[in-house]
Amino acid sequence: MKRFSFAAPGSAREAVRLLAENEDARLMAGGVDLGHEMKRGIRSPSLVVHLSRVARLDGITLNDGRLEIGALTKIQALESNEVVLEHAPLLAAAAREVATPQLRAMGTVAGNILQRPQCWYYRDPDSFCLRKGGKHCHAVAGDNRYHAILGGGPCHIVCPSDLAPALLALGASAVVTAPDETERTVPLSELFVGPGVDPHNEHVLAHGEVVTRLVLPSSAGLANAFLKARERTAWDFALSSVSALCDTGPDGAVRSARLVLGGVAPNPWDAAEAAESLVGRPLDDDAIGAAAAASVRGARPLRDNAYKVELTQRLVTKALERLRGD
Amino acid sequence: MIESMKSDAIRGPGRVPVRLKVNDREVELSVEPRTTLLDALRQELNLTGTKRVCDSGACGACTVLLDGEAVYSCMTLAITCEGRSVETIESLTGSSADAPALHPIQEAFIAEDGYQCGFCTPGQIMAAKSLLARNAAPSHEEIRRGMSGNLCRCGAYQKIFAAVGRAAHEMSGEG
Repeated sequence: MKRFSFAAPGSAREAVRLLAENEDARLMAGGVDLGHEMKRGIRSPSLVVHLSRVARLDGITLNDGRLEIGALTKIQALESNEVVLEHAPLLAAAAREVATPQLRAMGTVAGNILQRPQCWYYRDPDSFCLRKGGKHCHAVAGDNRYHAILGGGPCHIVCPSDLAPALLALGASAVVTAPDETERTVPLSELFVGPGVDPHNEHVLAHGEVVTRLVLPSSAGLANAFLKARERTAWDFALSSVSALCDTGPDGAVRSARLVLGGVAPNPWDAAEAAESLVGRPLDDDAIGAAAAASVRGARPLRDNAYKVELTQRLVTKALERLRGD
Repeated sequence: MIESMKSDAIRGPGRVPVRLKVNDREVELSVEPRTTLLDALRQELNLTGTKRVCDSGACGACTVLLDGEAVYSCMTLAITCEGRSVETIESLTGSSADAPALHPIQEAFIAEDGYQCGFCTPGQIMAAKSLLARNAAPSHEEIRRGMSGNLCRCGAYQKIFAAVGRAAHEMSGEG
């Protein structure tokens, strides 16, 4: 790891100022993802701005049916917090599937959703790929078994986060403090950008902006399921994940539904067409089969990752069967 | 407040003083901001029980307790531990005549043969300590889940799980 200076400011305002004054400063929260990049020399900031001393950046509260989750809330806290269990059980379920107990105790909710891609070409210090400013995405001609089947190109990374798809399904927004100290609210549906728009960044946040909290409506009482397929049952990132949420009326017909995929596209993939196909009908096998097929419509697998198409359909099927109560 | 202690002070990149508590002892380290807690423990404090294996948060051998929570010390910067409390494997063994020689978790690992080469064992034991602090009577499934952040390259998992189960039993006074 290259040498760097370190600051632990006491407020988000000071953190924003330090970032504004230092073009290659980086924010650190849990330090797991940035630390990994710094050890590998993928990023070598001259200044690390650590957020641990910023007051009120962690904690979970419920105000008027809206959950507010501080950006520095540990992933571990989401697993067992009573407010999250009642008002966003899908998020608690996703949190339980993240990494390992140690990483859940270290990593923060905002750090998890903004973590950089796990693509092995991106993480390889010797590879100068498109995302790092090079000319080519090495996954195109290389080993692309873990890469995108949806929304890829010209770079083929996948969203590594389990929390981001769940939070998108839950209609969450990020509250961001900008360098001029104003606050703006960015819905997660607008936070992430695909490589077609920007092959170097996964989100729209500018240097100097700090996510201070996430806000989301209560989803208490809605049927929900988070399913994650991976090679090992611990530690691994998702080959594919499904965050499913649905509101069913007394007649058994679906009133509204959300289906968001992780691990298959550069960003959390909102399978809106699949979710909408469920509305107005009961969750029977036909409806589930049609939604599973629609969830991967438009998939363009690479040489080694066609398995993700069927894997995702089966995961969606299983998730919807779980919503039905199977 | 002196300049270097101001909250927005930029410190480093050279060595800076970092005060923290390690195994109930106040210590002042002199480390660069880039120094990990793992390297500070091993190289500055000679606490070599905490092992350096993958150095990338992917094996668990460096597990220590930070304010009571199991974390990977290889992915924790020492400078971020200012004012915090660290427990390493060295804290478990009694140092006075009236303290037992080994912690019940260590005794349980011996009794169940919960290791082969032993290199991952300090991390396994610290992870077990954190697990048992949260859940004094874990089920087998809860043990598997709670210990899932620690790899054993020898594959002694079944005996590790048995050791944690035995330790829970002994520590709850039912032994």
